[in-house]
Amino acid sequence: MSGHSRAHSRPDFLRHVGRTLIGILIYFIPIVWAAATLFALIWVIYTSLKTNPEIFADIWALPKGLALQNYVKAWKVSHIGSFFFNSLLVSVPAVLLTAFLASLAAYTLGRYEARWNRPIYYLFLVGMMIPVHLTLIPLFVAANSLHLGDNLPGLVIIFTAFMTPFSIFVLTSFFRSLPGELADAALLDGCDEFGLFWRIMAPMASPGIITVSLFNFFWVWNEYILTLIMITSPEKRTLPLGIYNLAVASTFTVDWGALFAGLTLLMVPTLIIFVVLERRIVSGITVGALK
Amino acid sequence: MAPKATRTGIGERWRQATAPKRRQRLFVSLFLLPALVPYLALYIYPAIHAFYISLFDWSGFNKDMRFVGLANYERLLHDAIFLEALKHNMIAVFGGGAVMLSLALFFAILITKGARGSRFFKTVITAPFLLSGVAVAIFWKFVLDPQFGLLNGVLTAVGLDNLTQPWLGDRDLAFPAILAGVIWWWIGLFVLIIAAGIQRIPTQLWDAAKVDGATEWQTTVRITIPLIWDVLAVAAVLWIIDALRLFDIVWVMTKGGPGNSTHVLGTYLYSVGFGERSGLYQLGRGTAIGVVLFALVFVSSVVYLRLTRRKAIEY
Repeated sequence: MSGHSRAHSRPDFLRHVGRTLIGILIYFIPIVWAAATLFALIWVIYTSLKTNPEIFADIWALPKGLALQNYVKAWKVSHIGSFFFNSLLVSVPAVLLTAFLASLAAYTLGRYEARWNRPIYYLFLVGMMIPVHLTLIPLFVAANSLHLGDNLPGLVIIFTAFMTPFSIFVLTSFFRSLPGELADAALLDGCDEFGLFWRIMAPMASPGIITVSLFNFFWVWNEYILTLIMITSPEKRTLPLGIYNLAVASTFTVDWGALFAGLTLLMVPTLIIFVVLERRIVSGITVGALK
Repeated sequence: MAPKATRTGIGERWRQATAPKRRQRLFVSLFLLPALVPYLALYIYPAIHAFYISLFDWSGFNKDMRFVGLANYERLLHDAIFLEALKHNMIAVFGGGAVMLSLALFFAILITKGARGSRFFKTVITAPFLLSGVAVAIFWKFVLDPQFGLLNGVLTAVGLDNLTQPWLGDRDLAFPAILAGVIWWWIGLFVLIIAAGIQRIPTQLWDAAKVDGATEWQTTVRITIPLIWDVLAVAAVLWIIDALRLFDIVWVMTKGGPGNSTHVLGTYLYSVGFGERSGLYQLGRGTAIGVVLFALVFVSSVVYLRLTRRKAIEY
């Protein structure tokens, strides 16, 4: 606002009104945008609390009561419960395994001088430039001969492989930036190499490891295309795949209440993590993209 | 081997203490293997194998791979649906990119001005970025539904009935309608990146301009945008890579339809390769599409690495 102490002559006043109008217009778009976004998120959640007749009557209206039976039905009848557990059974081990393997490798690449370190670092980096689509068909072919197809442990290993490049890229520079004094002291005390990593360096790098794991979790929880290729048995579907089948594959018999309950279960975990750890995630996004 | 000076220069003593010891080095190289083995076997090997598979006519399970050389690629040149899919990726890259970057720049400028509610605004518009493409696609389908969709409902409510459309049923409108969903989905990422760029500019620069009587518009055009040019370039390339890799949202919303009018390279690869169209697996032909996609993404990624590794402008 620039309406300082100057006297309000007429052209000044008009300019002020004009600016206010522009100001309103400028804020109109972001306000509508944010309101629509907020509505979208809330809509999915409250629709999951409506009965099927209520949804059919008006899909955008507020619920009249809390049809919690949607969740019971979704969980049992539509198998959302088993999809949810499948997602957890894949996501959590894959994220933990990646955190461990990538930290170990990044620690080595970041803290040791060896002739092969640089080429290996670039070998990992190349992975970030390969779109997953290129690997779909060969992976489909290979995974079946390696017995990694259509089973959840197989997905864990495949997802670990796909999360490795990004994780190593971020963690190598993180390990490199850690101070070395503690390591010096530990070595003097006769600590071995793995103890040095496990007891000294990895705890020091834990902020970086946690941030990387959060982004890995977001990716793996929402992963769709690889799962679509690898999983063929209905009972092994993860949430995104299960919900896709619920929404698209059976158009005539869709249990809408169950579908929205499933959507809510798919969306809420990442949203809760985002709201709780927003600062860390936001700085992770910007640092990751710009450095 | 003498330890080289590193960028950080920290822990040098420790590195000198460990580096020459051969036993330790052997031990430490074992630290690399557990990450390297699955990565090479399940990511790099399939990527290399793809180039080989793309030279064959291959329907999958039975061992009837037939070498056809570059015929799969040659066929793509005359494949109208492939060319249209490529065109859609390009529309996403350029058209979508222009809309995405200008909107994100606009939002980022507003946020960094510290207007009331900026923090909340930032949180809300970033939230969709963390959602599954499947969830976003299903929601967006409800918005665009011709019968009970929110968009047509709002248009009718404000008296613009004549603008209502069967969005996803219209060959010309379907892809732009999907693209709008993608922008809604990912805009937070770009706002955050651009806002971080703006926050790096020292505030004295704006203060000085204000003292000289510059308007908001002038400071934005003459100071902010030129000083974050490098960040905008990074954001642009990031968008290009994402726009080339589109899959989930398109697949769930339309499966490339109606009448193949919304395919992108990713969805066309899937429907050709896994027989969604003909019922016959065409693994070689599908993989050839993957190789084309790889070439586009790879070149963009190299540009991205070049841009991010260059030093930021010194003020």
